[in-house]
Amino acid sequence: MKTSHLGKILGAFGLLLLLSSPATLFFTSGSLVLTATKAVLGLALLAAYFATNFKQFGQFASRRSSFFFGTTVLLAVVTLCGLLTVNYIAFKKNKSWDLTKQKIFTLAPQTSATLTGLKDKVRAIGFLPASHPGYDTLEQLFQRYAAEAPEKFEYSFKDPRRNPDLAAKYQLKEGQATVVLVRGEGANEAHTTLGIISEQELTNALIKLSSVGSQKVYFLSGHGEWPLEQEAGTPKDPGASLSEFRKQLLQEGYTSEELNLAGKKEVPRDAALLILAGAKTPYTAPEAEALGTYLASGGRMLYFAEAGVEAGLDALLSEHGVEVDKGIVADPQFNSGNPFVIVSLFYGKHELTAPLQQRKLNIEFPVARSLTVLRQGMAPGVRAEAVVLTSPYAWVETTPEADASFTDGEKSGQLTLVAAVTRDTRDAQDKRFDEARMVVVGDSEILLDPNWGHEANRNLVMNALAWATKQVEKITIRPPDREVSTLQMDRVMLERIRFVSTDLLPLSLMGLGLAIWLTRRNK
Amino acid sequence: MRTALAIARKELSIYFTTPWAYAVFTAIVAITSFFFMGLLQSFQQAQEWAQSVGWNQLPPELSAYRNLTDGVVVQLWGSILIITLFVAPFLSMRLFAEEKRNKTFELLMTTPVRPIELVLGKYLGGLGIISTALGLTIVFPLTLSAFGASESGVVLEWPTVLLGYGGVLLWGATCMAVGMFISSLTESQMVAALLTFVVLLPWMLLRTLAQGTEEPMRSFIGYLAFDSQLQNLLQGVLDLKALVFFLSVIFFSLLLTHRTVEAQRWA
Repeated sequence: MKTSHLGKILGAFGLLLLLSSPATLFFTSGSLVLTATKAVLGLALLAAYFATNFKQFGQFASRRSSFFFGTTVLLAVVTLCGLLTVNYIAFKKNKSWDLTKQKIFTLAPQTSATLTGLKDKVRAIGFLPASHPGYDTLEQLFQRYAAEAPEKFEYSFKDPRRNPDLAAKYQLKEGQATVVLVRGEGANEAHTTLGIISEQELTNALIKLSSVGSQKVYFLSGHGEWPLEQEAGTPKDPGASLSEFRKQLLQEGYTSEELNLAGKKEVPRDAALLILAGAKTPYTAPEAEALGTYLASGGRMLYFAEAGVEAGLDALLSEHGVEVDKGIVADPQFNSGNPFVIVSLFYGKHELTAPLQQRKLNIEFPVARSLTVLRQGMAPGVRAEAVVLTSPYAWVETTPEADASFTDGEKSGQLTLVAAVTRDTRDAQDKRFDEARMVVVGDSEILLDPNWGHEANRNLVMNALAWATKQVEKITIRPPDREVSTLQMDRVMLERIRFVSTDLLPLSLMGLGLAIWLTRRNK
Repeated sequence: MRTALAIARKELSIYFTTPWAYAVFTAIVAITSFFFMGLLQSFQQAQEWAQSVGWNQLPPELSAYRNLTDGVVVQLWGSILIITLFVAPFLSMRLFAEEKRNKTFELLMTTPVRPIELVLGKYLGGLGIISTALGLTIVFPLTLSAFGASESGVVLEWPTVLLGYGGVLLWGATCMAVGMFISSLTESQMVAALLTFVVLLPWMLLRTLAQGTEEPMRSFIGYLAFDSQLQNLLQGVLDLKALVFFLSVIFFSLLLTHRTVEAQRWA
């Protein structure tokens, strides 16, 4: 075989390799090494072609048609670049006109207002594989949001199976179709997730993400509460910190800070929430009074009780309809191998635990104290409700060191482990909110780093936090729909339509064609 | 331009006196009518089901059947896009390939007709025939309008219907432009039709390919896909970018055709 001929074959292969290398990178293996190898090999083969056909190039270059070919290629490339530019501008500055009667493809005014009001850019990540039935709907929704506020809203899609690290970062379960909204970068990054794909949910999530950024959560300190930093944990119990909980707060856009009430008369005005987590020594009377004033003016608080510790808040709690029982809870059946480590799947009817109940999640309490929900003796406007309970077989073990069995005189039955309290504070002077909210949890250890990985516990705490802070008033967007229109026809009418459309019309056209053919043939 | 129009007129007269064009018309109407009847039956079933249990109890994917425009016409336009994908290559294949095969192309090149006029004339002729072919399908929404009923008296949302129809015509015009360019490259009509189909089909399906990639490639490929550009138009949303995109493809195809025709002089 002639060298020039072989060169041509090699050149053709080279061109194929070179042109297909982007496909390797973007569509097939995605390997940079393979792509580079293909491209380099392609270039080498093309070089071989040029080297073996050098003479012909000289002849080609001197031909008139070569000049035309050259100008054509140049013209095509220049035109293509021009058209790409025009299309890029059209893509970036696209204008749309919704011609539907009910404007079903136009965002609701609430959504437009929310997007306009966004202070920071929000990135939406659709964690859906392309095969998901909701993929197209979500993409269209994202497109409308991005078109409405191109500077404030951007979106992307990630297949959770192909991006397990990212899915893990946002604590997504495998196969869970969801959207994550992210605001900020790096350490300041905040995010929120939503599972239902609708304009209402997406806009509410945007509002939530925007509003929590300004909310400050205070952790009360000074009485041996669990430290916020891992380094502050004791050498004896190094995992005993709230660092994971705090990290989650940051991720959701809250800012957190420690607060020592000693010497202070009131809780700072910027407190969106106050958390009392595992105090080991009693709060002083002035501190309890400051907390009482805070709640009476519409404050929000999460109280996590500690086993074996009297926190000095009995009066405050009973004023709000809750008493923390002495001793710790034991359950012979619903435990995790130890009667004191309670596993609960019993929920009261409350919005705080509705999502947990829906997903049938079990909460695990390492060492829990039970609560008594009071029906009298509370401050006016107080309403307390049990939201997480034990099984009906539980009891309060007053001497856990001595034995782990029920003895007469110990409180037993279905005990309350978590209670939610509201207090009407509309008429309060110098009020913070119209309603005070408090969640009392009979165990503080569920907040600790080693226990934070338990999904149900984490959900319980974050739901309690969201409920107590009552982050945002959710908006309701009624999805617009086209007007109902119907076809009023019976079977006979349907058959007539079928006859006209599938029979008469095609046959007429065919007949016309046949007539023309015959006429032409006979000419 | 007058020359181009004369060429277009000649092309149209050839098309309309060729049985082949009627075979294509018949195929379009016949296949569309089967889709139409299928959609109509599904619509009727969903309506009957909704009457017995209420729309709220039906699966969300059936909500499109609340309305004739969404339930039948929008979906019918979607089907016609696919039909056009198969039909357009057969209508565009003869534009230049036939001239080359019959050796009349050389004659044409010796006449005082500029290549640009030739290309525009041929394209306008092709546009006329594809518009006629697709124009026949308007009979289906007209049927619905005649037999349908609604509380407000307006059975179909005509702005949506006509915009979708405009999208279908734009798609047809694009197919013809691409087909004409390919026809100008070969003298075999079958090769031209096959190549046109081979180019248009993957181009139509690019969106599926885009879904498997990451940004920014995803947006780039998604933008290039005919399917995603047509989606909004069919549903009643006029997108400026879709118009720019289709006109760009048509313009570039015509430019390449022009250069191919011009190349005959230099060969």
